[in-house]
Amino acid sequence: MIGHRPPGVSPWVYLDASPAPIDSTVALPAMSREPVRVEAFVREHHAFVWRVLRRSGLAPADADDAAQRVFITAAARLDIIAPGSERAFLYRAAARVASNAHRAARRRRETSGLEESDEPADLSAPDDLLDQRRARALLDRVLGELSEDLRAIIILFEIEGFRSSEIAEALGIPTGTVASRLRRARVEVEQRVARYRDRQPQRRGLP
Amino acid sequence: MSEPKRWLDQGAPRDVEQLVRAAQAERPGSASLARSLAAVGVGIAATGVVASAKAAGTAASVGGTTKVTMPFIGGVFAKWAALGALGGTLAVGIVEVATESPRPVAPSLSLPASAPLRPGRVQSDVSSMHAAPTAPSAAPAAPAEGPAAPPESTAMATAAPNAPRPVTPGGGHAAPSPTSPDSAPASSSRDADTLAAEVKSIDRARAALAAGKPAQALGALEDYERVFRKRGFAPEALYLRMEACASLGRTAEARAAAERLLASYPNSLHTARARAVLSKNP
Repeated sequence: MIGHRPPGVSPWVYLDASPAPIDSTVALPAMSREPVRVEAFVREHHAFVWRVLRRSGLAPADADDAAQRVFITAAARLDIIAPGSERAFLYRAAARVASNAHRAARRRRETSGLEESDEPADLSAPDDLLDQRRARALLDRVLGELSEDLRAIIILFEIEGFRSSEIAEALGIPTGTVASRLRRARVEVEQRVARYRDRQPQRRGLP
Repeated sequence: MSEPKRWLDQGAPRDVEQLVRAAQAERPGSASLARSLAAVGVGIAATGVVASAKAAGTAASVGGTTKVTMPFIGGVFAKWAALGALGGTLAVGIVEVATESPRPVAPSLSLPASAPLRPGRVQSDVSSMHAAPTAPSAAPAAPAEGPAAPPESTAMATAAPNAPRPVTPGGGHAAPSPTSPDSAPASSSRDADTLAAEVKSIDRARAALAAGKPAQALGALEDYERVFRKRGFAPEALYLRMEACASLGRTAEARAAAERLLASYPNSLHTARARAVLSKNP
């Protein structure tokens, strides 16, 4: 049945397994047979994928590019993604693509010898809720300091609202591990945010 | 096992709560969605992306049993096939969608897929229509000699008309660009019209290149760049310029475009082609 994977097989196995070389004579089933379905899939999940890429450290335009890669991968695999497992699959794909992008960037820095200009993050605590860009800059800085495991938990649970079971599937961990990892991740984030906040000598706008 | 409570539900530290809310509020631009759609070979639609996503229902719908509303841009429309970073060029039958048809027509040839899943395994997974030698470090390069089967590129229509992407010369990541608005995707009809016009414009260039008319493509690109100062399709425009110049033997310009692509859009789908152009035209 289309869309079913054998029970007990995580969706991400298909992502990790090296695919048979895809050449132009092998019609990618979903794309050519079911354009409607592919389009619906992209529309439904694009914002989610993009946000994950952003929180994985990609600038907005880079996230645009990376999202393309994610969806090309996913569209090719549409038939084996079980219904209900789409976001788990997409998260894995996005994490991969982001990781590759970072790795490539590091290689470029190493080979070119050029310093990447890290845009100086304004880390002063946002005084007003409207200053969302600064808030995200701080969040991304903090998330970037976490291990990938802990970052994933914060992204999926706190930001994207995954259930524990979804997270377990997405990350390939037992459900019980989700809770303990979440606790650790929260502590890390809260501590770091407090540290950044306390660094700022004064808060803007206060009398 | 009961679900843990989320930060937002249980009174996280105020600062932390602000960060989470800010993250949840961030939206990609409508251009971004259009580019992903184009990358998988689906027709580009103007706006109403949120509405359409809801209308589309679940991804489990098969074969058109679910009615999906897909707005189209005028009658001029073509599919772009993803290529470039995915392994050289692919000659794809581009099908013009009939003006009145609400259904996208799939390209007649399959698309290359699979972004590289492991570092280092770059584009060797994909063989293009033109059997191309695979260099160990560079992507397989389709010969640029053939106007017969010119490369297709993914057109991404895009953009927040109010947010150009800054180009940073000198390599490295560009500073985070304001490409994506912080608020909801453009839903005003004016933005949709701009997007539609931009798609049409860049598509003229693509079509010219596809038809084996690189000089015409360059002319169309000039039109595009003159009219659309804030370019959502900047990577695609650079890509088309690179390919057109390479076809015309304007090596220096092709190289310049390739270098700019690599420097400014390191994660685009066109990086493999850019590297190929550089390696073939030292």
